[in-house]
Amino acid sequence: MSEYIILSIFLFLGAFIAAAATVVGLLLGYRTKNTKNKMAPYECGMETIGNARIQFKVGYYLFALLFLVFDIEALFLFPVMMNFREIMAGHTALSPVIVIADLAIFMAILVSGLAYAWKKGILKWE
Amino acid sequence: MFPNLNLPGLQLPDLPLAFPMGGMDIAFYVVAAVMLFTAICTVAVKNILQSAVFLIFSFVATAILYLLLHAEFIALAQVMVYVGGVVIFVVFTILLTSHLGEDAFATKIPRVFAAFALSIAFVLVMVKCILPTPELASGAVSSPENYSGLEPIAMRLLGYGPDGFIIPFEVVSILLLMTLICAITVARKSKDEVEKEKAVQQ
Repeated sequence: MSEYIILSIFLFLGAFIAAAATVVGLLLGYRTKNTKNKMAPYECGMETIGNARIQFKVGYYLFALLFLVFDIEALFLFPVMMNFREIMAGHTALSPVIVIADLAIFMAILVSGLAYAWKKGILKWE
Repeated sequence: MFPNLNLPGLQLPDLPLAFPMGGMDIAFYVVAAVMLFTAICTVAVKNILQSAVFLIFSFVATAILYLLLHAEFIALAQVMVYVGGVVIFVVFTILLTSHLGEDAFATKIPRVFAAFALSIAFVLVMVKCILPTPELASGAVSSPENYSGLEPIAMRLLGYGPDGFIIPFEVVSILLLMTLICAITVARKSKDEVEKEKAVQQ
């Protein structure tokens, strides 16, 4: 549990520093009136044209889908990798050969999905 | 056992409410407050992109709640899949849909009331389900030491003995493969459409 206390200290410090930077800026900063020019979005000194929100390409959507699938795969591999070394050393009840075979099957099924995506031309950016 | 939850005279079981509270209790209440606040902001904020950002904070707070319950793997799943994947996906979907993020939603008052009524009904159902289990309601349920840590989970996930989950583990990959193929099939342009577009461009 002690690692989580360290983690929570980091969380708190991160939030604190971010908040402190803003608050200190508010307290110490020299304030002027909010004019329209001041509040305009800064775009390298150019006048902004049109709306900032444009419609994204659908291609991004497919990449997000691919990412999500492999994200979940990584989630399942993560705990396995945490004690992979112990399993390989034979310190556990599991046989290293069977574990390797299991992981290989798991990966092979998912990589075949990636191969399918590749073959269908999903990975090619148009 | 406990009497059924009657609405007029709400009878609570004798929960061991410990005051003064320990550090874990304080952590729980702080995290729960953050979670509730961000969850309310998620539905109350007008801009849909802002509500996606509040959703991230709500999910992170939920992950911390799981950690407080010693459920490391679920906390990891919450952060990796929900914060890292699903919310990003929601943002993508918002940005893909043109003009969706621009206009604030005009929420009608009857709908707000309906939503309130539904959520209160949901809370009542949850309370009614949880209260008859005294161990659950008092937080006294305890799994064996480090039962839900990452390493014991891995050992059970790969285990091929009677308490192993190796078959579900492999089936997960098939499920993911199906998701992948379905997503590609749905989202990808078919050959006819591509050819049509080319014809239009020419």
